[in-house]
Amino acid sequence: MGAGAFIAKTGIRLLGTYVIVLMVYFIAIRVLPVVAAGGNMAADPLLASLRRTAEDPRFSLWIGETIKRFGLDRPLIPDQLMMYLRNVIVFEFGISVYTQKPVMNEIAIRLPYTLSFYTITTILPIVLGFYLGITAAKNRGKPLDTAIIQASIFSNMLPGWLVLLIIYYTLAYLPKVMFNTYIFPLPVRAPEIGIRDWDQFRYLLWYMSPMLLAALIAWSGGWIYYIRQLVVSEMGQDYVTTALAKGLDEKSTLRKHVIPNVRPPIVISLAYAIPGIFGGAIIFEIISNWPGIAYFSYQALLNWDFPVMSAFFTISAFLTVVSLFVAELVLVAIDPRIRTGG
Amino acid sequence: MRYVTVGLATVSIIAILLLGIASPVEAQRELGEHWYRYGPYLDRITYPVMKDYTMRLLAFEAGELSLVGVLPAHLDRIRTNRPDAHIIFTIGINSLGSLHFNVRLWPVKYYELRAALAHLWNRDKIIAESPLRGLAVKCPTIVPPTHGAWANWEADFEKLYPYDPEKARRLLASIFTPCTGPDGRPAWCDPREGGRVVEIEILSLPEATSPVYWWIAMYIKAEAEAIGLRVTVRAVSSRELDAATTAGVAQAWIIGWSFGRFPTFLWYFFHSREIRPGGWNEWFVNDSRVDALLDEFYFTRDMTKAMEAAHKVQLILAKEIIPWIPSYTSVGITAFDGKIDRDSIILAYAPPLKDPVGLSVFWWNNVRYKDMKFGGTLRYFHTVDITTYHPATYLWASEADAIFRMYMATMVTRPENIYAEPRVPMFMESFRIDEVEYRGSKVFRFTIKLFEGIRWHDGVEVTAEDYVYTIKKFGLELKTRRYYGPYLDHLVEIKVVDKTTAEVYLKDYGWVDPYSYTEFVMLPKHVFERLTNPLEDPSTLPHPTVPGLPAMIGQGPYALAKIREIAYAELVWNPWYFYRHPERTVKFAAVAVPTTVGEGTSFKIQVTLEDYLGARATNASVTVKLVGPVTLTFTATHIGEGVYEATVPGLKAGTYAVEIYAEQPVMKWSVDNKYTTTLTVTAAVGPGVGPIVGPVIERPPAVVIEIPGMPPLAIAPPPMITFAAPEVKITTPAIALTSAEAVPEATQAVGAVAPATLSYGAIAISVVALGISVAIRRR
Repeated sequence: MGAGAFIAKTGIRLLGTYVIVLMVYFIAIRVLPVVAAGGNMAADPLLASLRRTAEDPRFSLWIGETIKRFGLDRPLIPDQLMMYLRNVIVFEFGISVYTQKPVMNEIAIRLPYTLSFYTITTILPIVLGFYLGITAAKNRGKPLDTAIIQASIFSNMLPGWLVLLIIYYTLAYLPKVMFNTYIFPLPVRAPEIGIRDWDQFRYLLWYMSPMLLAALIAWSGGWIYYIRQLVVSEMGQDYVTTALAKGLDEKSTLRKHVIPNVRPPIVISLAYAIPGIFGGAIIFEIISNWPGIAYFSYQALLNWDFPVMSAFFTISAFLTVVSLFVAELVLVAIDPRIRTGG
Repeated sequence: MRYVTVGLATVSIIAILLLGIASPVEAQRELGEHWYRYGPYLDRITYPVMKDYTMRLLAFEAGELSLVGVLPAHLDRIRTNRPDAHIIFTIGINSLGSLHFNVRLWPVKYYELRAALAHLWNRDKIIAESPLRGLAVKCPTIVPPTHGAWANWEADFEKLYPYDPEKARRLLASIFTPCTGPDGRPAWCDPREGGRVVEIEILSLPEATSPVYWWIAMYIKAEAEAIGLRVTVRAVSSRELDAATTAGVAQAWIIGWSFGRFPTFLWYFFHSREIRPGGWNEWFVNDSRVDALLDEFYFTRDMTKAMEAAHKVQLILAKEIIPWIPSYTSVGITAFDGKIDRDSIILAYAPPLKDPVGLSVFWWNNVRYKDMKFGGTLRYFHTVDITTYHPATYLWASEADAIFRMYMATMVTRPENIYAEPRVPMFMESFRIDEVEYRGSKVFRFTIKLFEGIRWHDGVEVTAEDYVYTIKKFGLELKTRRYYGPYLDHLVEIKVVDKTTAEVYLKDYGWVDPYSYTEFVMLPKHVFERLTNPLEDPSTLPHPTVPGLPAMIGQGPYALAKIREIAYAELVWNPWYFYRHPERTVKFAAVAVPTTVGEGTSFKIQVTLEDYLGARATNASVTVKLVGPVTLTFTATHIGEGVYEATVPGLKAGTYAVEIYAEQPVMKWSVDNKYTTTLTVTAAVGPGVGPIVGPVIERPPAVVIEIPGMPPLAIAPPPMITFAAPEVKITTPAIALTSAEAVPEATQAVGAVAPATLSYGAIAISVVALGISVAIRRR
């Protein structure tokens, strides 16, 4: 199979998966409660949620309008299902039941916070894990390997929020009260996201630094261990023995043969990690007063804010599909076996 | 802690959240009886959202916050780590940590079950062993003891339901049957529900944010389960708690309420009329006897009768309904940054209570730092996510903290005694009640007269239109949480009489109504009527007409500088505040005005300006006005280092009032000041004074000329004109003169080519004509 056909096939497969997932979601969240209630539309969680909201005079102005606009008074299948699918394609999720503002606006104002934090904290541990994992594998059985493994296990055991609290206490609070200086800042005022001027950007980086450091310490361990194991496993393969027997030095063997072969599983793991960006890290957000999406989604869940919940689910599913598709493309580029259909 | 402004009568004590002890500031008494009205002293207040209590403590200790609420368990820590801090204790008018019930939901719909739980309530233990560490006042009544005589001690839960697990067991046995749960453990089952195992779900805020509430939830769970009653405690967010209780789906929950100075909450909380969308009756109390007593309580004009009715209601509530089991009244502990002047923290008292009941609303006006007269930032915080800053729909005390720095009620309570009369008029000049005939019926007319000259943050004047609009829009039409209430029940008509006067016609009124209509928070009609949705949070919207300002426009001592961020808001002082501190303005450091000059002699007026911090004001504008035989207005020019100079041409003999008006821009606003003195121009001796138009032309700052009887004329002579009187052909300006006194001078002006006989009115007219003719020539 050629690369083009492979990409087309993958794209269609993932798109189909995406649509099916959305339909399953709609059926599970909107249809099944009504079916379970013997077809009583009053059991529709979205309508119930809107009715609860209607009790709040703040929202009385637009309840009827919302029902009409999103066809909530029409049959769930096929009318509302079709409308839902059409809306999610264009990312139109309606209005938050709780805040009464467009869902996408609510997400948009929080997204920069989530992206700026979580993108970095997703990529940095992988980079660190890649470097230290390979270093450990190269020194397998030596004290350095042991030290890296122990550190990675310790890192994996540490909850990120605990590391964050320790950093705030030891590197922000104590230096301030003892020496009237900060190494890292205490999380008081979340910065505006953007690069308006150098001072603002510097404050942004400074404010984020404890969070990034905590994430790096707590979230790198798994990657280090995973990548080390991949490399060690790969180094036990016959082709590596052959390469070394042919006189290729270990460094070249790693670079030319081993690393290309450990890349695909890392890419796939990364693809699965990227949708997590959207979810964010709720405890980090609370401790650091970081107004990201995670806490908002948590509130949406608690408040039965179905439009917001739908948005999170849909966007997460979308990101998963897209990142998997990108991962497949990357694999096509870096893995010769896929290019040849192997 | 949830926060209630139950009834507009209680709006004025919105600040009963942070508590303290202090005596009023003597140093300010020169400003009059209500010296504390004047302010603010600070430059700004910052409000980051800080949900985590521990992080708030750390931030305070590190100097990142100016104050922080402290749990008793952490008091020693604060004292150790911030020995400079002012620790202030107060007793709140509140009922906290109570277990509330929705009395129509199974299984807590059974009175016996609620009574059994009441018998498991050991207040001494709760106060001693919980994170309160003994620092709280036992609250065994529905109306907390801090309400004084309003609390009915015959309805004392300690007497009605003393701690007695055995009694609780017997009460359960009277309605349920002992059984074994699916897990094999003993339980109680409800025979009316087909033997269903009785299990209560209690909602509580989580331990991280509300450790005392969580402790109480765990306490009652342990006590209940010891007698076989199943209890599940679920940690919920503040939003979810609010949603579940208002929607009537929460069985039981632990929360606290802060009240206004009168217990009007009784009506709002327990009247069946408030079982409505957006209503207050979350307990779903629906009892006709209670309704009747509450109406009597609310609508009588006799406060003694109101108190009697309140006592009867409490008795029914405590003996027969038990909507909640009261627990404790808080002793609030607030630590303030030691750099804050302790005397500037104005507290509120409610005699005969000796301890303060909280911070006065005026503390925001008065709080300042020791080492500076004005300026500085108060670093405050929000403890929850901001749901809205809308004054009509806000939910949390934390939000009220910011909102009511921007909006001030028309009248508020006195700090030294929140019950004392007269209250402090802020924007209300007078209030009168008359019995009148209106449309053929006898009604009561409330006449509300506002002060003139109050300005909204955008400069628009506050008028009676705003008062009427707020009641009609947010009370009658939208029925919002904060503006809808029984004070509107008897409303027949409300109308604007003139710019500052509104009339409210009521069929009848009760003792609460005068408070409701006088302690009123007005909203700006000109802003809200332009918003697509008047219920949308104005702090997140741009001002509909003024670029750069948010739609959150108040009249209070602080203003929202810009649209608030998602987790941060910043208020700045409002230079246009009606009670701006008299010293917080541009000041005349030096003024040089001669007391006497000779007729026709040109002279200079020089002023040196300083801003309110004492620095030279270099960006001000200064206008000099002379009012005497003629009226002249000049604009002074800044000549450096805050010195402004105006050259005055020779004047006609007489006495002149000299008014020097200085205005300095401050952020998006300005401050101003006026200096007045008298100037005597003595008559010339000897030859007549020559034409003295020269100096006026050479230095042409005069932009406005006022002649009695004429409208002010603005002229802008081109600079550097070489003036040669004989060569100028002066045309008669087309000015309609109506003043008989002005006519002769103007007539002289027409023949002004004879300079020796020129009057000063003629000089002015000549200047106008000169400007016009030069302008024509240039074209």
